[in-house]
Amino acid sequence: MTGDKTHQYHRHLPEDPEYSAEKLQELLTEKGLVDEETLDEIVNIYEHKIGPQNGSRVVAKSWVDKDFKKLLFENTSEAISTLGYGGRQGEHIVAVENSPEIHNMVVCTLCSCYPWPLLGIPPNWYKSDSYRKRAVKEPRTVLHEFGVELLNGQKVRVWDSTAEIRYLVVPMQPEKSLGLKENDLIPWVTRNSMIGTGLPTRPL
Amino acid sequence: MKKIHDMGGQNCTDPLPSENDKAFEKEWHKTVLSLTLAVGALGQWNIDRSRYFREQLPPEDYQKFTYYEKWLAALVNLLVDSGLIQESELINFKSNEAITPHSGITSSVMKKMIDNGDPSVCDVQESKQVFAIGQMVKTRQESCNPFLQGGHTRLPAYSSGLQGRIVSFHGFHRLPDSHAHYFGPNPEPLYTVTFKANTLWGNGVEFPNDEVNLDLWHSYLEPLN
Repeated sequence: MTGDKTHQYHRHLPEDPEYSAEKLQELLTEKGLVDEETLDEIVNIYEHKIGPQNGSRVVAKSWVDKDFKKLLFENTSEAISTLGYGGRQGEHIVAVENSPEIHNMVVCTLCSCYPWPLLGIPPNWYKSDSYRKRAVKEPRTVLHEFGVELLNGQKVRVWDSTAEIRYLVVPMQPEKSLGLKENDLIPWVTRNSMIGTGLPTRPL
Repeated sequence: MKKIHDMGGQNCTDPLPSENDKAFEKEWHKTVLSLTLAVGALGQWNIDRSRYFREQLPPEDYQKFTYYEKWLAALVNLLVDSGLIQESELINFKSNEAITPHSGITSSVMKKMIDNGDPSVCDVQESKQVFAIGQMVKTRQESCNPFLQGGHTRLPAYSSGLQGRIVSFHGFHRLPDSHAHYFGPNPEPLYTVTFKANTLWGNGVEFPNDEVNLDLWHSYLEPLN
């Protein structure tokens, strides 16, 4: 195809999405376009292999390994590939560091772009209209609702993921966790702390 | 004209939904996500086009639908648009042809595709004018697609016609405004541009020195003296 026209589509589907999804899978299977094994593999990957535990490992390592931290901020994709991470919706990842001067926070106002290989599938609130509308204009109010207390004089920097660059927030290491080993630090690094809507916390 | 999906900065008093840690909240969400990826992997459309198709849902549907309902409705429209299915096949969800053995993406190929991703960065030989880090720029006056009226673009309306500063350069990336409509990748320099909160929101801003950073393509920007 060499050209395009403006599209305005109407629904082709019945009201019930659960029913439609099931019937669409049947149709696409009949047509030989999908098979159950591939669909199961995709679900298995995003349910069990890819999730925020990957990002937590990256952050925990950056807290204890100076060389890794240096590489993480110079070339994030290269650094995370040393741990085996990368790929779909994380082709171009940039790590951004929180400091006493800057608090970083990530949103995608146009859709729901998110660093899948490190954090998995975005949580419901990240995809909500409310977060998409409010995060850029009133980040401090949103952070307050998440229970994030900013430091005195800390500036908020919101990253609106408008291109294929995906952002990982690297939170400051809590003082109470200093001296712990990398593996013991992993559970401190919550998903929200890597989006910027939370801070690392002592695991329960 | 501002489109329904372009909602950054809109006044909103709705609280955030309560948190849910599950990867999939409902079983049928798994079906929609896996169908979208498996059929998308056939290469009949690209990621920019699938975003465009979600944006093009009728505004009342876009507003009402949950996340995976948008994905499902857009997927069906993509399937019809690309000719992979006929509209008539949706009436009873029955194929117009004989049942065909699987000729789509196998699970091992799918796994490789997820592992490798689809980088939007392009190798570009010719050198074009590249804005310098620290340079002041102004965004396009209107958030609109220059190739196709009402087409896809990634310049949010809240950031259009405003001054920002280049803070980093990411190489040449496929231009969604072109790629979504099959006018080719037309790679352009991609920059992170920083905007002061008070530039974006004016008086009444929470904190004037806060910043919003956006990733914007060269043609979205013009230099300021």
